[in-house]
Amino acid sequence: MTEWTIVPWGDVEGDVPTVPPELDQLAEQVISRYDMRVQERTLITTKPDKGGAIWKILTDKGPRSLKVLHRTPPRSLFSVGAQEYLVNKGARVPALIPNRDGALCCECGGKLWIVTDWIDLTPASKVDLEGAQALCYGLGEFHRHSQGYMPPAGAERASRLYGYEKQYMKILEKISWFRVIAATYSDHPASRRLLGIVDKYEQQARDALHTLQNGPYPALIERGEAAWGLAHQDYGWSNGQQGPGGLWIIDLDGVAYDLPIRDLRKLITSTMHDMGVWDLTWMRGMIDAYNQANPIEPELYQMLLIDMAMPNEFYKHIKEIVFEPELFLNDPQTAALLDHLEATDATKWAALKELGAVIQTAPSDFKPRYLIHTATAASAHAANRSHSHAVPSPQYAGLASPPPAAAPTKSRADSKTPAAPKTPAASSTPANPKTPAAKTPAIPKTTAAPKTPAAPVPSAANSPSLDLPDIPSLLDALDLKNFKPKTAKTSSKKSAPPRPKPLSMPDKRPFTVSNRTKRPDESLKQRRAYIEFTARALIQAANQPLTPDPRIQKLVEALINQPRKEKK
Amino acid sequence: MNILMIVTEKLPVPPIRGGAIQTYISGISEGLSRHHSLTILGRTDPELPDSETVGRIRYERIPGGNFDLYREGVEAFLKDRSYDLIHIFNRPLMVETVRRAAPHARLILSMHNDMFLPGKIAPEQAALAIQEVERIVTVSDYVGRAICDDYPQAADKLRTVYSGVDLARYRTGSSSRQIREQLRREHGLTGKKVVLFVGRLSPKKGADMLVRAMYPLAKKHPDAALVIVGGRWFSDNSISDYVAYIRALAARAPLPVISTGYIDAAQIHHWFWAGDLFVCPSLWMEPLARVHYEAMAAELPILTTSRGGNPEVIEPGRNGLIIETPEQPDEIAQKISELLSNPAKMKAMGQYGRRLAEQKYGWERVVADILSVWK
Repeated sequence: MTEWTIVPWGDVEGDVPTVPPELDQLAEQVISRYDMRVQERTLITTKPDKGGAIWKILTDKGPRSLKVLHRTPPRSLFSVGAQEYLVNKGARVPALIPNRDGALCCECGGKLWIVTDWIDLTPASKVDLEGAQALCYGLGEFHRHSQGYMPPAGAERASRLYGYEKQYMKILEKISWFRVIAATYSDHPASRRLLGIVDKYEQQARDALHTLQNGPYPALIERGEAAWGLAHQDYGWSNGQQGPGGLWIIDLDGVAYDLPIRDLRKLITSTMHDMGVWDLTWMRGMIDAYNQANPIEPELYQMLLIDMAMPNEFYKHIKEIVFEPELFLNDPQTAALLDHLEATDATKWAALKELGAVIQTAPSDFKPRYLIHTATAASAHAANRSHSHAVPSPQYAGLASPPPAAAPTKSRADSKTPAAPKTPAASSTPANPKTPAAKTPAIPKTTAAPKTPAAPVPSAANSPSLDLPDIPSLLDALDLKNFKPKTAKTSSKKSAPPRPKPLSMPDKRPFTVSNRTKRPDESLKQRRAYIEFTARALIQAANQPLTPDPRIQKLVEALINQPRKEKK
Repeated sequence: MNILMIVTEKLPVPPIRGGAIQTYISGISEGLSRHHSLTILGRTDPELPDSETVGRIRYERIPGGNFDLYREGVEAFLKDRSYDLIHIFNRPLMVETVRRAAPHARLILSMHNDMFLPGKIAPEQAALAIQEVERIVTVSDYVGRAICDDYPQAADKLRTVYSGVDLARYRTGSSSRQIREQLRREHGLTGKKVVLFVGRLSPKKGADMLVRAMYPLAKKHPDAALVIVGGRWFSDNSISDYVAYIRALAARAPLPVISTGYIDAAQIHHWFWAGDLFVCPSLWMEPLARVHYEAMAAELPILTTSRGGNPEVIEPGRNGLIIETPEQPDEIAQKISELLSNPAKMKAMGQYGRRLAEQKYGWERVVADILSVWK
C-alpha cells in the first residue's frame, strides 16, 4: 500500500483551516500507533504552503496535541531531539509522548509526527512592558536550558551560528538592488523617496558588517555550537505564552544552533518597529528581564547591539520590492511604510548609544569581503553540508548513539576551541581573552525597576538582581575540584541508560551543571566546554552585574552623600 | 599502469546529472583508458549500476552525497585493492584517507576550484595533502596562484591543465545554421544581434549587470537582444529574490531580454549557435568557466571579466575582449557596443576562437597533458 506523501496543498492559511482528506487519514494512522483513545480531534492550525498542521486531540489520557512537521525528517529530528532535551532539563516546553514502540516521533507520509501534552496557554500582554518582559524572561530560560544540546543520530545539524557574516553581506548586497530598482522604476514618488534614503541604510549595513568582523563575534563563535545552545528562530507572542508555572514555549520546529541574541534581537527590534520608536525603557526592561534568566556576558551584549544596528527592519520590509516593483512602489502603504521606517530610525541611534553600542564606521574604501574563516567554521561547513545518510528510524527512541562519522571533522573543531584550563578552577583566566572592562559598554542603567515575573528578591547587600541560587553553592555544585575528566579508560561502554519515562510535568529542579542530565556519549571536550562556559557566565554575573540593582545604587549614593562626621 | 580516478561525492560519472568536473572526466576518460588500465570511482546513482565496464573503463560506485560517508566508502574500497596511481578530483580532504589506505600509490590531485580556502579546509589538512601528492593539477593558473598564496610550499607541484570541449558537437556548419535560424525565429530574434549569457543565475555570475548594460546599449544598438540561458526563470513562482531582481530589471529594459529557463546539456550547444556575442560577466574570482571553451568552439567572439582564471583563455583583440570592472554596467555596454559595431571583427574573432579551440582546447590535448603528468 503506497502511502500518500505529504506536500504543500495551497496558499497561506485562509479563514478556515482545512487539510486534504489524505492527511486526515494519515493522522488517524499515526494516532493508532499511540496508546490512547481519541474521543475528538480538532484541527487548530495549518501551514498549507509548507505542509504542516496541528490538531488538538481529546484522549483518555488527557488533552494532547498532534502535529505533522513540514520539514524533512532529518531536519525535524533535530527539533524533536531538542524538544526532548529541553523537557528533560526542566524547561516549560510541552513534553513529547512516546508511542507504543517507545518512540518520540513517527514517520508517516514522508514526514515526522509528534504527540505532546496539550498545555492551556494565554498570550502575554502585548501592550505593556510586563508582557514583553515575561516573554524575554521565558526566552532566557529557554536558551539557558538549550545549552549543551547534541542532536540524535540521523538528525540534520541545523545551525545559524556561523552565518552572521554571510547574512550581513547578503543584506548589504540586496540593499544595493533596492537602489537600482528605485532608479529603474523612477517614475513613482515612492521610488524617489526610497532613492533618497537608501544610501543611509546601506551605510548602516556597511558599518554593522565592519563591526561584526572586527568585534567580538569571531571569538564568540569559536566556542562552538553546543556551548551556545539553540535559538528558537520564530519567537514571539504566539510561540511564547503564559501557562502553568510561567512562560511556555511552543513550536520548536525551526530551532537551530545560534547565539542566543538572535531571538532577543528580533523580539526587541520588531517591538520597536511596531511601536514606531526605539524606547529605552522598553529595551532596557526587556534586556534586563532576559538577563535575569540567562545572564548576558559583555561580548555577547555587544553582539546584541551590533545585530540591532544592522538595518534589519528596513531590509525586511523593503525586500519584497524585487518581486513586483510596480505594485510595491504604487501601493499607498509603501509611502506610509517609508514614513514609519524613517520616523523609527530617527530614534534608533541615540537609544543604541545609550545602551552602550560601539559601532565602528566602515572606512570609505571598505570593500565587503568574507573575512571570518575559522577552523571551527570550516568543519561547521562540512557538518552543515552533511546530512546523515541514515533515514531516521521510526523507532527513534530518544538520544541514542553519538553523532555519526561526521564527528571526526567536528572534533577537530572542538580541539580548536580554546582549550579548557588544565585545572578547571574558578579563578583561572578563561582561555578566551576577555576584553578589559574599559572596552565593554557602560552598564546600561535600569530606570525604575520593572516588575519581573517570579523573580525572588535577593538581599540587597550582596547579590545582584539575578535569579540564580547563590554563587558559592553553585560553584560547589560544579564540583570543579573533584572533577575527573572522562578519559578513554573511564568512559563507559556500559549499556545505554534506560529510556526516561514519559514526563507529564517538567522537572522543576533548579538548573545546575550537576543536575543537568548526563549522557554516556558526552565527550570530555563537550563537558569541559560546557562547564567552562557556565563557570565563566557565573563568574561574570558575580563580578560584574550587567544590570546593577538600583537599591545598591541608592545605598552607594547615600553612603557618598552622608554628612561628614566631625573630627573629635 | 593500474590507475584509479576518484570523483567527488556530489555527482555521478558519466555526467548524467551535469557537473563541470564530471564533464571533464568524461571528456578524457576514454582517451586515457587507451594507455592505462583505468577505474573510475564515483557516487552511486539510481540510474547507474554500482559496477560496470564500459569499453576499457571500469566504473565503481559507492554511496555519496555526504562527504564523510563517501570518504568511508573510499577507504573501504581501497582496502583490498591496489593501484599504481590514484588521481583524486577536487577533494584535498580525501588525500589523507587515500594515502593511509594506499601507502605506496602515487597520488595526483586535480583542483577545479577553491577547496583549499581556509574556510573549507584546516591548514594542517591542507599541508598534509600538498605534501602527500606528487602533483596538483589545476584548471587555470589562477587556481594554482590562489593555492600558492595560502600554501607557498605547493609551488613546485602545481601544473595547469586547461579543460576542453567537445569540438565536434559545437562545430558550425549548414545544420547548425538551420537550427540557429529556427531558434531565433521561435524567440522573435530574427535580425537581432544576440548577446548570449549561459550560466546559473546567482549574484556572483553577474547576469544582473549584463541586463543593466542593455539600458545604455539600446541607443547605439536598438537591434540588440539579450538571451539568458540557464536557471529557473521568470514565470516560475518559486524564484529566488535574485531572479526576481533580474526579472524586474529585464521588464523595463529598452531591449528584449529573453530567458530560456533550464536547457538540457544535450541541447545547450543549439543556443551557442543562435547567439552572436558571448558574454561572461562573472563578478567573482571564477576558476575558469567551461562556457568559454564552448563559445570558442561555436565560433563566438567572447567578452569576459578579468576575474579569476577567465582572462587566461582570452587573447585580447583576437578571440575576445576583457571587461575590467564588471560592476559598471556602462563598461560592459561600451565593450559590447564596440564589438557589435564591427561585425567583420566579430566574425574574425569567432573564427580565430574556433581555431584556438581546435589547437588547444580539444579533449585530446587534455588527455595528452594528463598522460604526461602521470608519466
